Parts: sequence; C-alpha cells; structure tokens
Amino acid sequence: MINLKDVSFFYAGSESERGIRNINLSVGKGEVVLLCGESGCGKTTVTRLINGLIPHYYEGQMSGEVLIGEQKIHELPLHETSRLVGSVFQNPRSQFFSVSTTSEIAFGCENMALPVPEIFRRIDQTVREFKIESLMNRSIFKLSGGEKQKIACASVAACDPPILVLDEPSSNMDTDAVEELRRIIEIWKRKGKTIIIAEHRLYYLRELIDRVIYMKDGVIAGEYTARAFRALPPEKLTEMGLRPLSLSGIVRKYAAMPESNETMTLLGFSYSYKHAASTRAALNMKNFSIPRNAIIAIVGKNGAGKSTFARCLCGLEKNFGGTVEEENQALRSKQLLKKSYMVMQDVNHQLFTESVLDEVLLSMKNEQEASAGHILDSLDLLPLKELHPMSLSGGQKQRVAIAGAVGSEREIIIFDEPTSGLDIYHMKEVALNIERLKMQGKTVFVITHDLELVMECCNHVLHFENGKVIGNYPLNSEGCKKLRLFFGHIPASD
Amino acid sequence: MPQPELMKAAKDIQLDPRTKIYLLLLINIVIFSTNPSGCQLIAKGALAAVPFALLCSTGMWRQGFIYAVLYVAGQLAEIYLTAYAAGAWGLLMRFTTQMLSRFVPIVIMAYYLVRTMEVSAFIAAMERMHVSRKIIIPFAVLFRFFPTIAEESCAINDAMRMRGIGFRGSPLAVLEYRLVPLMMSIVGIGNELSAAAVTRGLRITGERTNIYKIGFGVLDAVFGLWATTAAILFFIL
Repeated sequence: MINLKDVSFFYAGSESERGIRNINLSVGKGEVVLLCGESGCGKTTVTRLINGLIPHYYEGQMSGEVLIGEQKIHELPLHETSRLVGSVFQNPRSQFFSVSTTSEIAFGCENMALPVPEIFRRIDQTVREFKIESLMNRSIFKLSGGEKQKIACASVAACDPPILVLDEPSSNMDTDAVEELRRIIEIWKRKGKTIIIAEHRLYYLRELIDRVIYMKDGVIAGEYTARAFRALPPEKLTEMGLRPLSLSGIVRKYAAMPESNETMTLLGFSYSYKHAASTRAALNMKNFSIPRNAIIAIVGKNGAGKSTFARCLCGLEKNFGGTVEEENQALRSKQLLKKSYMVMQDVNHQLFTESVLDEVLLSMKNEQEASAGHILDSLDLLPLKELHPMSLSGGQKQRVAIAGAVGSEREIIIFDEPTSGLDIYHMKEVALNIERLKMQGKTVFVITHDLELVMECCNHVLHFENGKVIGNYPLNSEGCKKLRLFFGHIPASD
Repeated sequence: MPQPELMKAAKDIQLDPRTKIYLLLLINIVIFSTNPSGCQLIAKGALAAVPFALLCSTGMWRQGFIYAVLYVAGQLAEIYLTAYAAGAWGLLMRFTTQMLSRFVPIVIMAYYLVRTMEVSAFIAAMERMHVSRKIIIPFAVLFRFFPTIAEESCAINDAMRMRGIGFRGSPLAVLEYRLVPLMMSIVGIGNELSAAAVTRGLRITGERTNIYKIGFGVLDAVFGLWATTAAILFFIL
C-alpha cells in the first residue's frame, strides 16, 4: 500500500528540524504501524512524507520516492493526496476551521465536493460510530483538548480515506481521552484502514499495533513485530529512549521519601466563573492541608478543576477570596500573585526579553548580575545566557521560565502539564528541574496526566474531581496503589 | 437518512455571509463618519441597534446587554456631559465617549461576524459573487484566526501579571513584551493551521460543496432594509 524507497529529506534553512536519511519502508493494507523514537528522531518527518506535506508544504531537499499504490505522492497535488490519506495532528488548537463541530466534520467532505445529502449521511454515520452525539452542534471554542481531538478524528473519518496518519495525537489528553482515542483507532483497524502513528505515549497502543519502526537520528534503527516489541524488557525500552509499553512498567524512582512536617493550609478554595461561556471548571473545596517544601502532583480528569485551582493559587483570579496559610501568615489573592508562579504549558507565552540573562534580571527586585548568574548556573543555563530565549529548545525554554521564578523569589511554583508530548529523556530532564526547586526549599505543584512523571519526582498527591479534593495522600506504597487505580491500572507490587 | 437535528443546525446560520459583511461595512462608514446631531442621532442609534439585535437573536444575551449599556451610556454622556467638561478631564471624557459611541458598535459587529461566520459558508457566499478563491481563502483563515489571537493574548497577559510587568518600565517596553511572544505563537499556529487545511483538501481551484444554504431570506431583507434605511436617513438628515 505505502512504499518509501530510499527517501532522504532535509528541511530548508532549519537546523532545529534535522531531517531523515535513506528511509525504506513498506506498509501493507490494513496494517497498524507505530513510529517511535526520541524527539527529533524524524518520525514526524516520515508522517509528513506520507500525507504529502513534504515536499509540497514543508520545503527542503528530497530524494527517493514515496508511493501509495501506484501514485507518486511527491508528485501528486496535495488535494489529491488528501483523498487517500487523512491526518490528525498533535495540537488541537491549530487544526480547526469552523465555529461549530458539525461544520468541522463536514469540512473535508465539502472540499471533496461530495453532494450535501451524502455529507450528512457520512457525518451521521461517523457520529454514531464514535459515539460523539453529545459533541454535535457545539461551538469548537468551548471544547476541551480531548474533545477537540475526537472531533479532529471524526472529521478525518468522514472523508473515509484508506490511510490514516496520526502525529502524536495523545499529547494533550487525560487518561479517559486516551482510552477514547484507543477505541477510535480500534474502529479504524477493524474497518481495514492502514494506520501510521507517530507517538511517545505507547501504552494505549500496545494491543493495536502490528509493527513497530524505531527511529534514531533520522534513520530507521530497528523494526519489530508487535510480539517482539511487547517482549522487550522495560530497561531496554528506557535505553532506547521510549516510554513504557504498559503502566505497570512504570516504577517509583525512590522507594519512599520522608515528607516534611511543615504544612500549609488552603482555606476557602471555592470559585466559579460568572462568564457562562467559560470552559473552565468551578471549584468547591473544603479546607485542606498539604506538606510544604514538597512536590505535589495534582491529578484528575479534564474538567476536574485543576487549572482553575492553579489560577487561584497564582492569584490570577481577581475575585477569588480564598487564602493560603503558612507559618502563621495568611496569603490572599494579591499576595499569592507575588508569592507563586506558574510555568505554563506553552512556555513561549512567558518569555519576553532578548536574552536569557535579561529574562532573569527582569524578574529580580534588585537587578544584580552576580546573583542572576548564580541562578542560571544552578539550572545549567550559564553557557546560554547571551542567547535569545526563542532560539532555545523546549526544555531549555522551560528552564529559563523556572529561572525567572527563582529570580523573583517565589515560594510556590506550579507546573501546568510540563511533560505533555515529551519523550522519556526530556521528561526526566523536567523531573530533575522540579527536584532542584524542591531542594531550594520551594513547594512545587505539578498538574499532570503523566503517571511516569509523578512516579519519577512527586512525593504527595492531590486528586481532584468535580472541583473537590477527593484524595490527599503521601506517595508511599499505599499512595502508589491509589494513584495507579486512578490511572486505570490494577496495582502490581510496589 | 440524516438526522433532522443536523439539517437544522446547518440552517441555523441565520444571515447570509454577504449580508453580515454588508452590515459591517455600513456600520463602519456611518458610525465612524461625521459628528452626528439632532435627527442623525436617531438614525445612528437605529444602525447601532443592528449588532444588538443580531447578538440577541443568536442567544448571546449577555454580550448584547453589555453592548447596549456601553453604547447608550457613551452616547448620552457625549450629548449631555462633554459640553460642560473642560481641560484635561474634558479631553479624557471626550475621548472615552467617542470610543464608546463609535468604536464599540464596530467592534461588536466584527465580534458577531467572527463568532458566527462559518468558513465554509463564507467561501460559498463569496464564490457566488465571483471572488477568486485566492482572495477568499486568506480571508477565511483570517476569520478563524481572530479568536485564536484573543486566546493567546489572554495567556500572555496572565504571564505578564504573574511576572509583575505591566506596571514598570516604559510603555514601549511593555508593548514589546506583549508583542514578541504573541507574534511567535501566531506564526507557529498559522503555519500549523495552513498545513492542516491543505491535508483536508482545501485548494484554490475545483468544485466545492457546502452544507449551509446560501442565499437571501426574510431575515436578510429585514436587516438589510433596516440598516440601509438608517444609513440613507443619516446622510440626508
């Protein structure tokens, strides 16, 4: 069905995207193929070759041939390729054109100039297959990330292409949404679609894949049948830079960390948005205490109130009336704005200046280059201090944002989904940064759907549901069991 | 057989995209031109009521109400208060009332347009007017882009508040802090959006269908006549 013959590609004028060399790959009809490997290994590039974005949209130097059936994709116009290959991308924010969900699902069919009654028949069929009746006729702006991704899958499915290409589709999803995605891929597989998935999160694909292509530095470094891949020991996967194939493969890095005896108490964490159109959840929490100078994981489904909680804790919600009590002082919203800091999911939003050093200086009360240098050194950023923050890699940018928080002497640091869409190497790097903050005496909150990150660095868990705290426990062996249960995994031995 | 709700949803787009654009242009021209007085104010008010009616008809009651209050307050203040205010305060007041009574209707009409304009319906309507798709598509993507820019801008605003910038440094520096990250993220999203568009078969030439019924109906006639009459009255009075 798909044939890549000795394909090499190098992006024009880009050093960050490295390209691929001498790729030979053939995929049969109805096969489900997983492309995996560290960030920057070239798996996204391979997906772009198959959906024709390379060389028609992303420019660069290409050699070799990409065939689907008899058609040469690199010579076929993109709108022809779009009938053969449907694509789902990583970022749900940037793949929608319509205001309403129904219109979005129709979009591809309209471009194919299908007759209108046929388009409605297809929408109807897709909606029933995917069980997304409740999402129909809604404004796209009011959907959660996971819901958006479901609509993206549905709009591709309505076009009914024989081949589907998914590029890190689960990046921004919670456990439930990942399960829904798995179900959708299963439907496609049953229908005999040929599916290519580039992905970091592997566990949900375990039983779906037929073959695995492991890439490293732009070449295919290994090819496995599903059986052989499943048989690889967890240590081997880690060595390859891959995330575990099952949640039971995730083990706690430290047996148990002693918790500090000092606590902080959160009082009156109730908040609701007056704006009816707001997508954020309301909070309605009883007073509770958590350890200070700890790394606290905040887990819960989408819509449980995690980001509302974070915004209140940062003092970003002006009318929020709750307080944080620690060491006999009560911090209200205004003080919290100065005491706490959030490292956002998209760190690009919070880097403002022209150099890494300026970024730290900007956040300091008294701009002292010596102490700024010290902060940069503690985060391995000193060699980069003259560079423009936007020229750095994702992990480095995140460290610059952290440096800003340290420079402004914040006590409470909140990470919002710091590892969504990261490979194991970069996930561990983030975990290390978080641990560094704890060592400096900070209290760190980590909002995450990433069980591995929690097991890697957190020592306390807050579990939210419907704006309430339904779990508040230390991450000892008992805690690990509870946490695994939430992540839908029956506990093994911890 | 397609579900009746789906068909209904497709018909829910109440005005033809061409009518919406016409209304926006008319409001722009009239409300932004000359200093109205006397009867002209009534004509202007009638025109300013168009976005209000549209917002309410799509169920955006809250937005409609806020708009009505802002406009009426601004207009009344402009008529009755600015005459008495002098000096720096007078200037500030004149500026504020002008903003409320002139900019707000235009901004609200544009907001309604962006919030209700289906890209697909827009393309179909423009093709009826024989506009080339080379011109239509960039505009269509632009519509899709405004809400995204607003979302990104909010996130950057939060980040700035957390850092405590916005209150210190020169206004120029603050503008730079805001614009640089905004530009970076817009370029990135724009790129991804275009890539997604082409993989879904959007193209410059060739036939294309559309699930929305394009064409002028009763509502188009009502709003069109209402606005046109108001505009004509405005210029002859």
